[in-house]
Amino acid sequence: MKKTSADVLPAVGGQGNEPLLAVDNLHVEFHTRAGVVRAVNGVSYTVAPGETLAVLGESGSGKSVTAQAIMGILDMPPAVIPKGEIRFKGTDLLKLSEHDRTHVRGQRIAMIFQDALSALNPVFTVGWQISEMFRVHRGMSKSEAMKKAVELMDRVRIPAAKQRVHDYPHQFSGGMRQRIMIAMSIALDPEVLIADEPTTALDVTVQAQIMELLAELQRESQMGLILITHDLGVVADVADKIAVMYAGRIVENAPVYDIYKAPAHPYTKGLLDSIPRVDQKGHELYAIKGLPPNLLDLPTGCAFHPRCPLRQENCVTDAPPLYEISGTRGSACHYWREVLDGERR
Amino acid sequence: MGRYVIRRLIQAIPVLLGATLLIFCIVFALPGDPIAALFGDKRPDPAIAEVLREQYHLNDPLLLQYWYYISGVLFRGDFGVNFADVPVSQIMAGKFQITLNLALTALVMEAVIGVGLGLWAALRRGKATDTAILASTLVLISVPTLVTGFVLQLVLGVKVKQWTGLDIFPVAGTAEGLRAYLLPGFVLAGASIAYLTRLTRTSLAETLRSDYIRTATAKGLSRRRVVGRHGLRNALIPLVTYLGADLGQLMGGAVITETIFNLQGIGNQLFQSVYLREQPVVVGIVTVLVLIYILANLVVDLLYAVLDPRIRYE
Amino acid sequence: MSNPTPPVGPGLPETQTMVSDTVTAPAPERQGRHAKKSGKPASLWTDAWYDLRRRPTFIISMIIIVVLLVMSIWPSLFTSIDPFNARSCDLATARQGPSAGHVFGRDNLGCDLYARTVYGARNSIVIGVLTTVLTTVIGGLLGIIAGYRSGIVDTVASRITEIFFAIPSILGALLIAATFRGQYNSILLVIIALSVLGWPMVYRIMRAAVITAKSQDFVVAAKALGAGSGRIMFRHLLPNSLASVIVVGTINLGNFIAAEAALSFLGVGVQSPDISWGLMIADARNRFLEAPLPLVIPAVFLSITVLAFIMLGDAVRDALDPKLR
Repeated sequence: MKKTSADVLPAVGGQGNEPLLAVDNLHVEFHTRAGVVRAVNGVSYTVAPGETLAVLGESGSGKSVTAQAIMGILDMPPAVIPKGEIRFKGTDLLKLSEHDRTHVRGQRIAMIFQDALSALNPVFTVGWQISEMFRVHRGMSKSEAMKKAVELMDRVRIPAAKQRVHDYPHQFSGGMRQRIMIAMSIALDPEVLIADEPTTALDVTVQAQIMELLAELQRESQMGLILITHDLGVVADVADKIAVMYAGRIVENAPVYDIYKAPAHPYTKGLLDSIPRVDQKGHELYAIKGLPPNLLDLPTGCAFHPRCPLRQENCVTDAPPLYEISGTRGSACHYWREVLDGERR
Repeated sequence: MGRYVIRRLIQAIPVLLGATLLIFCIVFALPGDPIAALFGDKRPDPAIAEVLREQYHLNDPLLLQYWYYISGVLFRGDFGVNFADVPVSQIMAGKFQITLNLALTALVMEAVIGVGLGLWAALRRGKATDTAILASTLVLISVPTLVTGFVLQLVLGVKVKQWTGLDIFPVAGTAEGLRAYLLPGFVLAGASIAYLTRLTRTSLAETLRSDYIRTATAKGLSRRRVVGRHGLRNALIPLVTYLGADLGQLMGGAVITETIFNLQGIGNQLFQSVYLREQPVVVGIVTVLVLIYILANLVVDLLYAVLDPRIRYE
Repeated sequence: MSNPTPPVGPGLPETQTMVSDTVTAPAPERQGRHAKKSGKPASLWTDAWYDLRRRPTFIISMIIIVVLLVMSIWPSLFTSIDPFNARSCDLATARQGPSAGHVFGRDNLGCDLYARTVYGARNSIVIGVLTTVLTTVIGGLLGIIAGYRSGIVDTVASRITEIFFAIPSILGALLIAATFRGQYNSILLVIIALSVLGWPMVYRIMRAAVITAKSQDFVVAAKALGAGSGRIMFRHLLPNSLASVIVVGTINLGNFIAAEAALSFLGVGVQSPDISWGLMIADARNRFLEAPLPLVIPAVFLSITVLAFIMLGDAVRDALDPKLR
């Protein structure tokens, strides 16, 4: 008999108080010719069923690498995970064999990518690609699986799904392609869905539709959703909590409301200030000074110190831990109090 | 699709006319009088020679002669006769069969060995196996047919027979049937195997870096299915088209192999006809090869559309 | 890859190259890989040179090529026997094995095999180099004009090229060489026969490279500033398209040498008393099974020579375009 994912992992409910997914002190390095790139340096976050975590950061902040580590789709080598755990319902995925890992991927934890045109295989019909999930993981027959694919395409609201199931990815518009990507990822009712910049490549109007669709699907199925983005605007409406990443670390995490109300890290504050606002019309738009850090050669102390307007001497020498501000909130800034106080809005 | 094929065929006409005219001009620059050559050492009766010249249009201007010839080929499938009145198509048929057998054997070997080695190298990219395969393709490309032909004839043909007493690889002629093509087929395929290995390696390695491969992995598919189904299906596109176009090249390049292994194919026939000044045979062979080249390229273009749904010919 | 057409069998000039696989014009503005060390961005060529010097394949092939060049200019440095002197041969000693003074033994006519092989290098190198120069000049010039002018010029030139592509190159060369045999110097004839069907490939590579270079900003800028056609073609397009042509030229050189041997082997190439490895192989052929050395020695020299040039071309290509690694 075929081994199913249920044999590998405990059934829904899990052990004790373990969250659905917990990333714990994760480190990821890339060993390249130019040296060791420290892409992720001790990231921890959790997601509960039905909860949406937004992971925010510029490119190179390690947000996508963390997600790929969760999926287990990093190329190893050059990638190495020297430290950390990724617990799914209490089971450390990093300790599973590659074979067991394939039973988690796609079935229990699924992922949506940024550019659906390149992420979908150009030589197979979209129906084939969606139905492959059912054929491979559920052992369905071709026609049965195809019927399921049509249902899924209906569910993500692709018009005329029955006819379009035989079309190829290049025959769809950008938004429709992303819907197909989503249909494929939710095919087997995963418990965690990771969406890596799902709307970046799309028009603004389409962006909103896709976010709405994701939120709706999540409400129906109670998945944990990890939304990776660099766009604060996308986050506000859908996220429950936010983790802000910088240079491979989480610099601030908090419930979404708290962060918008008053950031506790100068980097988060900079990000919020650089959003154009109507009441600031006529003022110059704020931009964080300097460049993102070189991951081959990270700054000493706090990695953000070369760009920080509040820099003190100890920022250059001492790396700040993630200070606990409240039970649900943390900031990796020595002067988080000052940041918070200066920003009561 | 049908429209596209017709347009491509029309576009091919100038190529066919140009190439055959070029060959026609070269062939008629052959020194000496073909009618005199026909009579060997005897001096031909001038009257008879004149009649023959008329019959073969040898007194007409070159372009007119060419027109007589090419219209016969294009409209009646008539390649003319040689000076012994044997139809050229009849002379060519058997020879083309042998060369086609040889080229097809080479093509199969190329596909099996080339794609196999290329896949192996791509999956072991950067490792010792990969380096070894790359190095051997360099050698395979560099060592001329002339050398591989004789060396393999000696080692695999003659020596193996001496040591084992078994005639596994016949070294000359086609008396043994298809088995006779094994060794010459491999020799002919040599450099093509190497090119295909390199192409397969690059193509698959490039494919495996694509986003959709990452997606396939994220779908929870086994490595075997990711590479074998999603990777290979895409990597195959340039390989199949390469193989399609290679058939004509192998047929046109077989002359050395045919000489070494004493196969009476078109290469050999062309060579003999040049010496015998049988212009119709020479032009006929080249015309057929040009046609094969044109058709092979057309088939390749159509194969592209079949293999890659993004390409549509209108 | 728009239309991959494979090269013909080994030892024959490639009629076409898989453009995307073998040669890709590198982006000229690429930053040098050792830019950090010298403190400023290196040009494509200094960068490639830096890379090349560290490649064993480059060093090995250059050593072989230098030895071959010396051998073809001063063969007497390598052997004291003059193979053109009839008295150096002795029929009574035909096919004798290796002995003192005759390291590889003697051939079918009792001549010293080593001396003949050494003297054979000259024709291979001369024919290879001159054919490469001729095809590169013709194909390169036409390619740069067709690529730059586009429109009707390009269409006509490309159609003509297609005609040449349609003729199998070794058979075409055989036909030309056989037709004019005895009327011209045999070495010159081989060069012409190989060039007639060899230039179209250079044309294709050059045209493709020029079309790529043409759309780059600095060319557009030069045009906007009112530079003349000649200036744009030779000061801007040529240098930026040279890389791929040099690679193809090097690899072609090896293939032309192999093709010369093939033609000579078939009796339509270099003619006796001139020495050619292909001719030596043909001469040794009938007694090959009883006396393999007279065939094997020129075959080994031929293979190593071709290998050296193809290896060099491979190394240069990899150095110029690190993407392909």
